[in-house]
Amino acid sequence: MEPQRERAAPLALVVDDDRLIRMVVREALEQSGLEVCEADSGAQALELFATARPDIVVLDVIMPGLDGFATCAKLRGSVGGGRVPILIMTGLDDAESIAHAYEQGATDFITKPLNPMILSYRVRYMLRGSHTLDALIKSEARLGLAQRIAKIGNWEWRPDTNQFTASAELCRLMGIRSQDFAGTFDAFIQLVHAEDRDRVNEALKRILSERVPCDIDHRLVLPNGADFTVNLQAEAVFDHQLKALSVVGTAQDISERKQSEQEIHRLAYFDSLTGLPNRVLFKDRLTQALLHARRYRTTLATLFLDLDRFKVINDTLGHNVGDLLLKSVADRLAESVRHSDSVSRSVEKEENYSFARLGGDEFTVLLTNLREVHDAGKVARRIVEAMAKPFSIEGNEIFVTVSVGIAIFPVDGDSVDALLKNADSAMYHAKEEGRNNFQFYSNTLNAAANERLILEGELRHAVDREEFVVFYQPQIDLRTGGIIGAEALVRWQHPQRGLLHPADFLLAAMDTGLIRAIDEWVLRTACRHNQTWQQRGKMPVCISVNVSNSLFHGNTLLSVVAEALSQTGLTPACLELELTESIAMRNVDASIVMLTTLKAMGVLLSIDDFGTGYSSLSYLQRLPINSVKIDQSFIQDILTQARPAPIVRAIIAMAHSLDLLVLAEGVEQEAQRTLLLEQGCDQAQGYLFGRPMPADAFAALLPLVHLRKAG
Amino acid sequence: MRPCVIPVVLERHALDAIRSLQRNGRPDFLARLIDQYVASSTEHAVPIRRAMASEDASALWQAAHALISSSGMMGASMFAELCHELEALGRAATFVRVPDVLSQLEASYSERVRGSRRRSGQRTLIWNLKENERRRWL
Repeated sequence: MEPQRERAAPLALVVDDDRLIRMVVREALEQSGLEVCEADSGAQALELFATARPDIVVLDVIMPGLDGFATCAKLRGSVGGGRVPILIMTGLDDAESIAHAYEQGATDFITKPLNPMILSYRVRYMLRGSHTLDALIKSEARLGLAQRIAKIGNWEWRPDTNQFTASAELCRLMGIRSQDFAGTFDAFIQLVHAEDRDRVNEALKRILSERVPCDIDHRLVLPNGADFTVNLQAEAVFDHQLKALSVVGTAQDISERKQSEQEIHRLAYFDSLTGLPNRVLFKDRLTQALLHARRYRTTLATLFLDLDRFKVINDTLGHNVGDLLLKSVADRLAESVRHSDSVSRSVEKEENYSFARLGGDEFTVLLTNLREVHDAGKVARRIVEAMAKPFSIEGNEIFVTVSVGIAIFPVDGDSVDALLKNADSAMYHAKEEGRNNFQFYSNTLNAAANERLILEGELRHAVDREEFVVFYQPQIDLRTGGIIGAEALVRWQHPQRGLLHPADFLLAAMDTGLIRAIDEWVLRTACRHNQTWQQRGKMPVCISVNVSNSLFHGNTLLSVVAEALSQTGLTPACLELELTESIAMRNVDASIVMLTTLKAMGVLLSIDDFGTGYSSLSYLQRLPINSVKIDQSFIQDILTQARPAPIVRAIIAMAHSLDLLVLAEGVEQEAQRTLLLEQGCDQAQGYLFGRPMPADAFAALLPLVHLRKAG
Repeated sequence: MRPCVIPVVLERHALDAIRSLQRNGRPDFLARLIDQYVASSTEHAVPIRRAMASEDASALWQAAHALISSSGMMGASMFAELCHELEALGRAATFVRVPDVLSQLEASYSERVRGSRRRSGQRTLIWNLKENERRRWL
């Protein structure tokens, strides 16, 4: 039976064997607005308590049968008797009874002889207390229920004692039993995810220092290691002097909300079929990329892809196969862009590409920080080639091609919409051009791309047919003025375009990887020429050959050098290998090993373009080189500007202190020669002494040292 | 049997406290209490004498105790004190002094003071147990 809580007046049970006392108590309480029921013994009181459910019990101590103490104890143990206020009536001189009464669960006592007024005040006071306690318990129960439903735990932190009280619900959220929680601030912080700990700590301490309420999301870690997100809100409760007494707060489990937010984000920004970003996210990324490109004056490309005749596949093989094909296309697209050299090499850390599916069979690719426009064409070509391989979908071998349009920022547009629109129209152009190809929006770029494609093809043939020639530019000893050697320089004898300088084909050679083959060919040819000249009785000279990054850091250089020397019989000291600082510095330890090995073979080594790149003197000291070559930019300005002369002087002094010879490149005027001589420079090269020239012309400059044996 | 008369001094403050509980239009509460007090004290006088005669210690203290609360309530302090003494004797089971104390109770009965008089700020009512007499004093 539920206690009868909703009665008009509170009900008092008066228990006394003396009728007169019961009469007085009844009269006093009724006047206070209570209803009264009476029992003349403990046994009757227990019976009546169970049926009438009084709100308060006024109980005499000494009664025949069950006395007041026993009755009190039994009431406390009975249903609904745990919290009912019990007032014990006892004699004034009876301190022992009073103590005993409290032990048996009495709420309060009143002494006999009774003062009716005091009795009624006390009873009303006790009822108020009991009512407040009931309301509090109910309120706490409601709060606890509300917190459990809302997954909110509350807590209080006393900064002065570091005590941290966590509610039952918070403990439940944190996955620990209340009694296992240490109850300190540190114990709480330990349950916060390690990555969030500093942030939470700081936010909570700022409540005290700056009186800013805290409202942050952070993770809590459960004993099993899993984590979940809570929203932590807290503020300080100040005393009258505005000194913080405590910080009270709540922690609400919002992991479901977070998950929903992520799900909503995924639905809003990603294509559910392929998992690629959708149009919205792509435009957002393009907007960001444009801001960046404008600020840093970089180039970016928007590629617009459309599968050729996708509708036919959808109509004949069904939508299911069509969907699977789109997924495979997305995978292949991502793979081909990611593995594109030009994309991965220019920026090391941040991704500089992004894809999206705009809808249907349309895809887009964003390429940022392009080194040159041509790189966008290379990526496009790679995509076209990748798609051309057959797809195997549910037992069907499907051939699908793609048409790609490219719009470049800033030349083809400087807004998201303009770039997308122009890339789209370039894609239509690709369709008109017979599909399965890519087109730039700008015709100039199309022409350039086309030209580059042709050049690369021709270069491949040139390597096969050895269409290259080696030119030599003399190097002289500044003190004697005598010729001491030459730098070997490659030229391409193009069948239609005539003699081409490296500037015309170097980028293409690097992109195609043909540079290494060309370098090797030059090295072998230079050794052969040099040996031939010596055999003809010419004065032995040293020929410098440039070593590209690809050759130096590849694994063929040593064998190529050894082979060239052994095949020609050339003295190793007549071959010098030149490499730039940046090549040597790329992997210093490997470079030192390589250079040391070459030096052991007797080959001379020099650093080219010295002073233009990143220099580290400590590394330079460790490199087993013979000479440095001062870049021609310093020499050109040596007479006109104040600065280069001291720099050149410093380079010379530094090189000499490391026992290195110094060669000045690009010497064109007599005054430069004089100045360099004054500064102690050892050698020079430049138009003043001779332009790059064919082998025979150079050989003619070399003096004969002795006549060949007659006969 | 002669009428059982118990001389009782009801102190004014106790009577005032009881009168403060009187509500308009309700039966005289003090009168009802006095009726009850007279009835119960008469009722308990017999067991006291009987317990003494049979030297029943438990019956003695319980009968004596039963009169203390109501006597105190009614402001009959001296009477209450004597009952208290009897209770203590009963609890100690020493009957030696019981006749002595009981005789004091009896003595107050024999004084039979009638009337009302003012003495050191205390209103004293003395009455015998006859209904008509009691009414006169109230």
